[in-house]
Amino acid sequence: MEKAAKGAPKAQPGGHQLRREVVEHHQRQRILAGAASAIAARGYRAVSVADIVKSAAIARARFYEHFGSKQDCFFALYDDAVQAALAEVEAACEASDGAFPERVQAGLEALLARFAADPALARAVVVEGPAVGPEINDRFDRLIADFAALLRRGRPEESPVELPETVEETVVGGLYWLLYYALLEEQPKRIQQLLPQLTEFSLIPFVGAEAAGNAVA
Amino acid sequence: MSERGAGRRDGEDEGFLARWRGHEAEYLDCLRAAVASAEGDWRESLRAAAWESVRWAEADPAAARFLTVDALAMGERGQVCQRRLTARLMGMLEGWLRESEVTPPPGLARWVLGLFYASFHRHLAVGDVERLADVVPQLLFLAVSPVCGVEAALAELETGPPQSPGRFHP
Repeated sequence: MEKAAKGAPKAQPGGHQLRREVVEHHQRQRILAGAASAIAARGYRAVSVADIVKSAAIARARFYEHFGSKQDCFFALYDDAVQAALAEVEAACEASDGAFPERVQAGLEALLARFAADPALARAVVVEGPAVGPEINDRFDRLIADFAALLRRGRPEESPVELPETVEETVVGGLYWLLYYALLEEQPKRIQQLLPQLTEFSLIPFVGAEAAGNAVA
Repeated sequence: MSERGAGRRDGEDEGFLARWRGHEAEYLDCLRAAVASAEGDWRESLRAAAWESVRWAEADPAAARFLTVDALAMGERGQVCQRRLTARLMGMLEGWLRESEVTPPPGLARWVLGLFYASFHRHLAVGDVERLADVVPQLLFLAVSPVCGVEAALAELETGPPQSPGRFHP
């Protein structure tokens, strides 16, 4: 153990606790990163706890200190990734000074940049999520609902046409599977090129083809 | 993996593939029959295919769920099968557009397939096949509006199932 530097303040009560929490947080993040890599490479169904442990380079016992099972670990990865993506998309929309089309484009751009920056995580969550089975249904519904709420929030109140109440959920669902196939076909490097398409298809029902076209021009 | 484990996995894969092939062929046959009996342009073909897919799912929810939801839980094998089916369906849609001499915006076929797949997956995953028919008009509206414009596509929200009988039409 390192000696405390001369003159350094004495450790405060609870200091060990804090250090342990930091270490545990670091371990957890390491396991999740290992899980993302292993699941992206082998698929959720084929991957085992042993694969995750190996990928994260940690002891098996450490894994079970944090997670009860492979599924438990995957859900933690999924929840963290979805929350982070949602926060980033929301921040990008808020930061955009433009009208609804520009905000939608800014949000989609942030999402695609995130996928491009960590393709393994994107593939693990987007492509392998549905491979989990019925246990993922509630999470998947929440994901669609949360992103749909974001889209709905910026939509012009005076829409030129009256659309069905669930149209945002349907649009977000379509975007999800479009991205799913792009990631499945291993095109993470090209995924950002989808921005004009995604923006246009997302906007057309709400603002019409001309305004959607102008937004991507 | 042990030899016994690998053997069991191979057996599961064989069973999955046999079931997949059966349901996929049945579904595609129905789709082709419905589209063949639809008269008109690509929009009519898409409408016929959409409603036939719903009728097929209503008639055999387990088969529809298998192709849409359960296959994905098979891992890579299921993903490969689904990718092939999606490519076929996209090819059909692109063929209808070509026949109607329509130049679609880039990525339209994938977008349309994504829209339909998302709704089918969402409803079938929770056993909610009854409400699939309710979303078809808005799916058609979203699918058609990038080509025909929003105003013209609005008609889809008012249009019900086509009269021409597909195999599963009542």
